[in-house]
Amino acid sequence: MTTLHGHASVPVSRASRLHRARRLGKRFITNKSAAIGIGLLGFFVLLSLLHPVLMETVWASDQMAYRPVAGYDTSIANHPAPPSLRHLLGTDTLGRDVLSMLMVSLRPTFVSAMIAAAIIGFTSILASSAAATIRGPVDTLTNLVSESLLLLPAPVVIIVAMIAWPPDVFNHIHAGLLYGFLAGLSTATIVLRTQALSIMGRPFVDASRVAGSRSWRIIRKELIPHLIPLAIVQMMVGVVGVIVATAFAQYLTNPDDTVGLGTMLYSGLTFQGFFITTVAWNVLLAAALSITGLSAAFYLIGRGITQITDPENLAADRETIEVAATSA
Amino acid sequence: MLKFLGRRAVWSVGSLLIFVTLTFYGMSLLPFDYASRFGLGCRVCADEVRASLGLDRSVNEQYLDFLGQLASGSLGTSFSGRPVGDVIFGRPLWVTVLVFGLGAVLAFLVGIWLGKVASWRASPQRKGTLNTIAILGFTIFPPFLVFLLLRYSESIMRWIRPNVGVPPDERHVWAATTWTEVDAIKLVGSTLLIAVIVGLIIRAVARHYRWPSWIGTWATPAAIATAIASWAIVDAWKPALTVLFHAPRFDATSGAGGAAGQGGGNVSLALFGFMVLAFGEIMLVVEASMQSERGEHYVFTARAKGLSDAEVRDRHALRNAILPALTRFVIGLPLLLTGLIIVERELELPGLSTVFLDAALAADLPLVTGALLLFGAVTLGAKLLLEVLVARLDPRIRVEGSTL
Repeated sequence: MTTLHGHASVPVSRASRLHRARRLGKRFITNKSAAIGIGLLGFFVLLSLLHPVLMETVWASDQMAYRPVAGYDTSIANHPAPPSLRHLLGTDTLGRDVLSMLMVSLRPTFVSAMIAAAIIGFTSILASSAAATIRGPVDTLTNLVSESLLLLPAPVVIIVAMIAWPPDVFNHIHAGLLYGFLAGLSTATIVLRTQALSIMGRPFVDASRVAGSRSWRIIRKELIPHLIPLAIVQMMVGVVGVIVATAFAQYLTNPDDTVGLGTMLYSGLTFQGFFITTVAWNVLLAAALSITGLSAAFYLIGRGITQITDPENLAADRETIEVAATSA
Repeated sequence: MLKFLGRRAVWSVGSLLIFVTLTFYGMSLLPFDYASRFGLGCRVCADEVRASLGLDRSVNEQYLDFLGQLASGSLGTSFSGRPVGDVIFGRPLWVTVLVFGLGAVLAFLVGIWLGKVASWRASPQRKGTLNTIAILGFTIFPPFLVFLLLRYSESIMRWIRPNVGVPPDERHVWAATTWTEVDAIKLVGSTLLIAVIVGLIIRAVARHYRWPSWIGTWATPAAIATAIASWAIVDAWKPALTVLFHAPRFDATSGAGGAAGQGGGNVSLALFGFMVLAFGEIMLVVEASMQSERGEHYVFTARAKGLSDAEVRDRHALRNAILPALTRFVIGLPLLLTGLIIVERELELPGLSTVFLDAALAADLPLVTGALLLFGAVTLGAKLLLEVLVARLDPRIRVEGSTL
C-alpha cells in the first residue's frame, strides 16, 4: 500500500486513509469548479426525479395537463403559453407542460451519460492496466487500436446510428454503451496508458515487486488507485459528447411518442403556424440551457478533480500544512 | 529523423487500415443499404440496383475489392456513379478547408490569446468571465448556437448579405459573382500568408535596428488587418467577400435556418460558429499551463534579468504553455469534426461533413469510407507534424534515435 501519489511504499493505517479521504473530500468541495459542477448536476438530478412525485401530489388533480408526451392543458386557449404559476416554464406548441417535458427528458440523458461514463472508466482502466503490465504485443495492440479509434469520433457514430435505427432498436442505453466503448478505448485509453506506463516505472512499484507482490496485487494496490482520478476526469469530460450526440440525433429525427432534449429543441425552433413564423422561446431555452448546463456540470466536475489531484497543487498543499505545523 | 518518420508512417498506415476496416464493417451493420434506400419499395428494382453495384456479394468480398482499389491508389466510385475522389476533392473539400481549416486556426489563436489574458495578472472578475465564456463555448448545443447566430447576425450583416430580405435593386455590389470557394481560399490564403511574412520581416528589421518596440509588436497584426481590408477595397478581390458572406442555398424549410426564417449556407457564420465551439478548450488548457509556468524558475530568472512583464509572458511562459494546447488541439481534431458536421448541416453548407452525413444516411459505402479516410489521414498527418514540432520546440523532449 502506498500513499495516493506514490511518494513512499509504506503501510498506511485505516485512520490515515480516512483522514486522507476526508482531506481530499474537503478539497473537492472547496474547489470552485467542482462545487459549481456538483451543484448543477444535483439540480438536474433532482429535477429528473421529481416528476413522478409531483404527479402524485401537486399535479394529482389535473394529471392530463402535466403528462410529458400526450398531455394537453385545456384551460389555456392559445399554446405555446408563456411561463405562469400553473406552468412554470410555460407550454409548448402542442399544449404540453414544458417543465414536465424537461423533467422526463433528463432521465434518458442521465442514463446514457451514466452508462457511457461507467464504460469509459472500466474499459480505459482495463486496457491501460493490461498494456502497462503485460507490455509487448498487448501494449502495441492497445496503442494501435486506441489510435485507430481516435480517428472515428464517437459522437459522429452515435448520431449516424441513432438516425439509422428507430428508437426501439437503438435507444439511449445502446447509445451510452457504444459511446462508452468507443470513447473509453480511444482518448481515455491513450491518456491512461501514458500514466500507467509512467507509474509502472516508478520506484515504489519496483519496491513492491522486490517485496514479493504479484502482478495482480501491484495492479490492484499500486496501479489502479493512481489511475482512478484520471479515469474519472476522462469519464466526466467524455460524457459531454454523448449528451450532445444523442440530443442532436433526436433533434434531427424528431421521433414520435418520445420526449427528449433534442426533440424539445426541435419543437421550440419549428413552431410555424399559418402565416406565423416565430420561436417558442420557453421550450427552446429550457432544452438548450439544460443541455449546456448538464454538459458544463460534468465538465466542471472533471476540471475540479484535475485541479485537486494535480501534484503541483498537492505539493503546495503539503507545504502549507508543513509551514502551519512548524509555526504552531 | 528519417528512421523516425518511416516508423511513424508505417504505424499511421496500420492505424488507418484498422480504422477503415472498422468503418467498412460498421457500415455493413446498418439496417439498410444504398439499393433499399433508393428502391422506392420496389423489391425487384432494389435487387437490380444491388446486383449492378456489387452489393449482392458478401461483405468480405466487397471489403477485399475495396482494399484492392485502395492499393491501386483509387478511392473507388460512389454509388451515385461519380468517382469518390472527384466528389470529395471538389467543392466540398474547399468549403470545409475554409470553415474547418481557417476556423481551427482562428480558434487556436483566439484561445491562446484569451488563455494568456486570463492567466497573467488577471483580476478574479476578468478570469471568471473569460472562464465562463470558454466553458459556454465548449458546452453550448451547436444547433442552438447556429440559431442564435442566424437570428442576431441578420441585422448586423444585412449590409453584406445581399440576398436576405433585400430587393434585387438594393443589393450590394458583391451580390453576383462567379467565384467559388477555391478562388476565395486562394485569395484569402495568399494575402494572409504574404501579410504574415511581411509582418515578421518588419518585426525582425525593427529588432535588428532597435526601432521602438511597438513597431515590432504591431507589425504583423497591422499587416493582417491591411490584407483583410484589401478584400473590401480592391474591386477585383470583392467576390471573395461574396463567397464568405453570401448565402448560396437559401432554404427556409429545414434546420435552424429554416426555423429562424432566414437563409443558410453562410460561410462566415459557419466559420464563426465553429470558432466559438473550438476556442474554449484551447483557452482553458493555455490558462492552466500558463499558471503552472508562472512558478517556474526560468520565469524568476527572466524577471531578475530585468525583462519586462510582457516579454517574460510572451517570449518565455507562453512558448512553453502552447505545447500542451497544441497537443490537445491535434488529438481533439476528430472530435471537432462533430461540431463541424452540426454547423455545416444546420447552415446548409455544402462541405465535406455534409457529404459524409448524407452519404452515411444513404449507405453510400465508398463515399463514407473515402471521406473518413481523408479525415483520418489529415489527423494522422497533423499528429506526425506535431511530434516533429514538439521535439523541435521543447529541448526536454528528444525523439529516440534521432537528432531532431
